[in-house]
Amino acid sequence: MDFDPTPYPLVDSILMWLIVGGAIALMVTLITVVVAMLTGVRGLAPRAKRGLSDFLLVSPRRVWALTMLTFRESVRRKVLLVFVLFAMLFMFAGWFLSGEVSQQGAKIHISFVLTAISWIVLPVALLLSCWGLPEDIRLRSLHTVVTKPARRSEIVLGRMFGFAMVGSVIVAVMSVVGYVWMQRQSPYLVSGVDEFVQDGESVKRVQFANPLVIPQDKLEVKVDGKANLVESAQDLKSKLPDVYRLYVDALNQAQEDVLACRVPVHGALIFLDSEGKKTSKGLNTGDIWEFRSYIAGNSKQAAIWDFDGINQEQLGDTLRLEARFETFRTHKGKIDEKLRANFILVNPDSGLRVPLDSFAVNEYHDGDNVTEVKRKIQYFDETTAEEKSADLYDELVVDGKLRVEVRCLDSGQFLGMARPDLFVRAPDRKFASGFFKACFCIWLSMLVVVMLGVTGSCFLKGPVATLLTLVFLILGQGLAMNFLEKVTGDKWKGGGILESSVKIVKQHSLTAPLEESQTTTVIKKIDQVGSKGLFLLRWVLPDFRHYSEASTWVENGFDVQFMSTILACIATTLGYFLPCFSIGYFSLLIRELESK
Amino acid sequence: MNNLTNQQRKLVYFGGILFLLIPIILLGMPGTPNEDGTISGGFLAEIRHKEKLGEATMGKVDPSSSAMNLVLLGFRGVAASVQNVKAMDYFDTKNWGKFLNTVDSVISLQPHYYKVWSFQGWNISYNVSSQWDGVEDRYWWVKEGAGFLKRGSALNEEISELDWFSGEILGKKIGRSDEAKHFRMYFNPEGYPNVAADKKGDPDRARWKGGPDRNLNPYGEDNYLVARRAYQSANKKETESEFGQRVMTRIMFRSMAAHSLIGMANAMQSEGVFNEAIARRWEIAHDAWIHEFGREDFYTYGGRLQLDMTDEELKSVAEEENVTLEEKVRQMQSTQNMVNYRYWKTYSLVESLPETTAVHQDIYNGQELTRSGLISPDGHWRVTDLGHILLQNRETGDTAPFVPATFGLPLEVKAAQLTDEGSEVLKHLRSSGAQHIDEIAKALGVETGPLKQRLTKLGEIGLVKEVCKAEALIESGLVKYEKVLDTHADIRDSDEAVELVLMAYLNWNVIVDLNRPRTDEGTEKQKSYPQVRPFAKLWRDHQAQVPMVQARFDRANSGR
Repeated sequence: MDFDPTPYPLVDSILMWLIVGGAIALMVTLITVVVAMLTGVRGLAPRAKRGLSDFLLVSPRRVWALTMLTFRESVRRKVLLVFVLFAMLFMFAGWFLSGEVSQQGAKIHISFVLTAISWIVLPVALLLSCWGLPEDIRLRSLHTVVTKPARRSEIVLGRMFGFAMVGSVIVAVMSVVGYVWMQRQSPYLVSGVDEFVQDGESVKRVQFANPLVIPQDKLEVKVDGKANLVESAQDLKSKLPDVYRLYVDALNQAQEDVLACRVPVHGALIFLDSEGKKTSKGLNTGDIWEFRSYIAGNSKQAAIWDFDGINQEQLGDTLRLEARFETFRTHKGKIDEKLRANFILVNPDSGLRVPLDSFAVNEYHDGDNVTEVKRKIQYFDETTAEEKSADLYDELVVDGKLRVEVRCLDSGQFLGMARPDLFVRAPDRKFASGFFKACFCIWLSMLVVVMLGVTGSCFLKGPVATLLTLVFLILGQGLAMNFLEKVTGDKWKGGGILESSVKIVKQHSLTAPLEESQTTTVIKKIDQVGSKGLFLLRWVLPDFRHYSEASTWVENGFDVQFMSTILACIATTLGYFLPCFSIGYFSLLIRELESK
Repeated sequence: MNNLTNQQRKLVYFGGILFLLIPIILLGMPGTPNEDGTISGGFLAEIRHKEKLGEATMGKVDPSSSAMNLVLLGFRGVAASVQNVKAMDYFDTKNWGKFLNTVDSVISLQPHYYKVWSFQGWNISYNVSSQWDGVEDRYWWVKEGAGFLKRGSALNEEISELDWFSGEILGKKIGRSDEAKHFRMYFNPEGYPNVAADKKGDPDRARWKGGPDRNLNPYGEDNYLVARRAYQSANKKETESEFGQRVMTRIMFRSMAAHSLIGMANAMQSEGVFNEAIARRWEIAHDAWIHEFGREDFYTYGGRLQLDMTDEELKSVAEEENVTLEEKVRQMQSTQNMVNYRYWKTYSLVESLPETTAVHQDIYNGQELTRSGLISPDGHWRVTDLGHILLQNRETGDTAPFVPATFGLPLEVKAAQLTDEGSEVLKHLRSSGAQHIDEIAKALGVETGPLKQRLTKLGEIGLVKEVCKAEALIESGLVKYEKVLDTHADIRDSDEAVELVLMAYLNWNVIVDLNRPRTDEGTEKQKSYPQVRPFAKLWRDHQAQVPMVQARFDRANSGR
C-alpha cells in the first residue's frame, strides 16, 4: 500500500460542499438579478416560481420514459459495440502481461482488468453524454419531447439516468467477464500436494508434481510413488475421484493465496526515538519517498501501534498480525539472512509486556509476514528470567484496545514503516467482495462523467462539451490534483504566476522574496486572486483519486475499505448530482433550441 | 459555380486520385530484394534499406509492439514519455510489479531507443535489486535486468552496446558483487557439486527445478563464460555495424571478452578451487589475453598496431607506415597502458604456475580454518562467545542452558573485539597442547559435569585445532608467495598482489589477537608475530590501504 487510508472526513466535506456550492449559487443568483435589472427583463418572480416547480414536481414516470428513450437511442447508436473492443483487449492481454507467479503477478492482472474497465467505460460515457442532447437538438428530435408535457428538468434527469443505465450495463458485463477472466488467467502456484488418502481399506500416498504452476504446467500425479499419467483434470476426476478432490482443494487454496482479499484493522502509529521518547516520526534514511520512516536496530527506537476494535468474536482465538516493513542496511551483515524484528504486546494499564518470537522480515513479499498470536502466549520474561504465559484477551486487550511495539533486532540496520504497514488481519473475504466493490467505484466515477457530460451538453455543442468534460476528467486525476493541491497549499515556493514569472525573468531564487515595492504588492494581490481561483477550481473538480484508490486496495490484495474509500466515492458522486442537475436544467431552460 | 454534372465531377475526382497515386506509388512502392542484397522498389523503400531504418532490418520484430504502435497512431512518443514518467514514479514509490510492467510498455512503444534499454537494464539489475533484502530476490532482479538487455539486443541487432551491458551484468554483477558467492551458485549449480542442492540452482525452483535459468544460461555454464559470449557478440556487432560503440575507448570495450576469462579463474580460485582445472583456466585466460585480444588490429592515431606484436612485426609495420621503430614501440606501449595489457599478461601467466596455486591454496585454507574456528558451523557462534560461556559457567557453576536467551540471533562480536575471558580460555586450551577433548577438559580441571558436556560440544566443532593450523598455513602461503614474486617482481606492487597479502595479514592478526599474551594487569596486550615475517615491508608500505581492505575482510567474514 502506498497510501495511508484515513477515514473520509464526511462532515468537513459536506461543509466544504456547502461553502463552495453556496458561493457559486450566490454568485450566479446575483449575476442573474443584476443582468435582469440591467436588461429590463420582466417577470423574474414567475420564472423563479417555474424553476422551483420544475425542480420539485418532477414526475418519476416521465423521467423513466425519457430514461428508457435515452437507453434505446444509445443502443441504436451501436454503443454496445464497445464490447467487441473489450473482448479483443482480453483476448490478447496475455501478450502484454507478466506471467510471474506471485502476488506481484496477480497485481498486474487485477490492475489490468480494472484499468481496462474504467478506460473503456469512461470514454464511452463521456462521448454518449456529451453528444446526446446536442445531437437531439441538431436533428430536432428534441422538439418531439419538449412539445410534450415534459419539464426540462425531466429531460436532463432522463438523459442522465439513461446514459447512466448504458454505462451500468457496460460496467456490469465487463466486471463479470473480467472477474471470470482473472480467475482463469491469473497465474498461481500450487506448492505441491503430498498427502495420504484413505482408499477403501488401504492408504495411498498422493503427490502432485512439486510445485505446479497453474495454468502453464501439465498436471502430473503420483500415487504410491508410481506416476499416473492423466491427460487433464477431467481425466483425473474420472480415474481417481479422491485425488481429484485433493487437487481441487489445493488449487482453491493456492488461488486464494494469490487473489487475496484481506480485511485489515489498522491502528494509530507513534514512534520512540533513540532516547525512548515518543515522537510522531521515525528516522529518515535518505529515501526520497517520505511515506515510511525508520527505526534503528538494537536501540531504544521502536514503533508503537495502538489498535482498537480487537474482539474475540470477530477475530477468533488466534490473532493474525500482518506486517509489510521495509529494510535499510548500513552494512551488508549476513547477506543470506534477512533482518529480524520482533513484536512486543503491551498492556499499557498493567504494564505487562509480552515479547513474541522474533521473525525474519520478508521485504516486499506481501502476505508472507504474518505472525499468528495464540490466545495463550508462552514467553520468556527477561526481567525475571522466567518462562511465563499470558492470555491475549484477558490480560493484553483492554476494552478492545491492543498495543503492539515493534523493534528491529539487528545492530546498524533499520526498519521502515508507515501506519498501514502493520495491521490485525481479520478473516479474509472472498476475492469477489473486493473486486466488485472496486467495480462499484468505477461505476460511480462513470456516473460523475455522465453528469458532467450531460450538464456540459445542455449549454455547449457536442465537441466543446466533450472537451470540457475531458478537461474535468484529466484535471481530476492524481497527477493534476496533486499538483493543484501543491500549488494551492502552504508549502508552495516561488509565489503565484506573476511573481514566479518576474523571478524567472530577473533570475531570482525561487525561495527569496521579491523586493518590497508597490509593484510587488500589486503582483501579490493579483496572484492572490489567481490562487483563490485555483483553490475554487480544486474544489470544483471531481477528485478521481478516490475512485482509483479502490482499485489500489484490490491490487494489493485487500478488501476495499468503506470508511476511507467507498464513502469518499459515494459522497463525491452525490456531491455532483445537485449542482450538475441545476446547471443543466437552467442551461437547457434558456437555450435556444432552434439554433443548431 | 461550375457547370459540371454530377458524373463529370466524379470523373474529375477520379482523375485527380489517379494523378496523385503516381507519386505515391513511386515513393512508397514496397521493395523487392535483389540477388546482390540491395533493394529495388519505391524511393522510400530504397532509402529505408540503405539507412537501415526498416523495422525488420533493425532486429526481430515484436508483433505486440507493432500492434501497439499502430493503435496509437502518431502518439507513441507522447505515450512512451508518459509511461516513462510513470515508471520512475513507481520506482520511487517502490511499486516494483507496476514498475516492471510500465518499463515493458515503454520499450514496446519505443523498441529501438537504445538508451531506454541500456538504462533500464542497468537500473533493474543494480538499483532495483539492491532495494530488496532477500538475496534470492536480488538475484531475480539481476536476472531480470540481464534478460531485459537480451531482449533489447534481439530487437536491435545493430547495437553492440546492449550485448556489452548484458556481459557486464552477467559477469560483474553476478561474479563480483557482495552476493557473488550465492549468485554464482544460483547461476551455475553444476559448477558446485559439493554444495547442498537447496543452496544452489535458480531460486525459482518451480520453474527451473533446481537447475540454472535456461533462458540466460542455456548450457549451464559459469557466469563469466556466458558473459564472455555476450562480450564476443558485442565485439562482433561493433566490427560489423556502422554504429560502432559509444560506451568507452574502443580498446577497452573490446578487452572484456578476454578479460572475463581472467575473472572466471579469479572467481574459481577465491572459491577454493585449487586442482589442475584452475591452472588450466589460467592458461586459457592467458592464451585468450595474448593470442585473441593481443592479436587484434587497432587503428590508433599512430596507425595500425596489435598489442602483442613481435619486434619483427613492429619493424615491418613501422616501415610500411614510414615511422621509426622507436615511435611504433612507444605507440604500442602507450596503447597497452590503456588496458594494463602487460600487467594482465604477466599476472595470468604467474597465476597459471603450480607454485602460485599452492600459495592461494594455503592462504585460502588458512582463512577458511580461521573462520570455521571463529564461527560455528551454524554461523551463529563465535569462539569467544563459547569461551566466555565456558568461563562464566566454571565460575558461577550455574546450570543455565548452553544457549543464551538471545538464541537464534547472531552474536555480533568481531574478532577484533574479543573478550579477554574468551581469548584466555582459548590460549589456555592451546598452551596445554591438548588435542583430545578429554585432555583439554583435564587441563581446565573440568573432567565431569555440565561444563565437560559443553567442552565436548566445542571439540565436536573442532575449534581449537583449526585456529592453530590456520596460522601455520597463512605463514607458509605468504612465504611461498614471496618466492613467486621474487621472480616476477613487476607484479609485486599490483593491486591484486597487495590485496592478497593484506588480506592474509589481517587474518593473521585475528589469530595473533586470539593468542596474545596478557600482562599482569591483564589489560595491555601486544601482538606477537614471527621474528621474520614475509612481506613485512609491503605491509608497512601499504598501511593506507588497510582500512579499505579491512572493510572488505570484515564483510567477507560477516557475510557467511
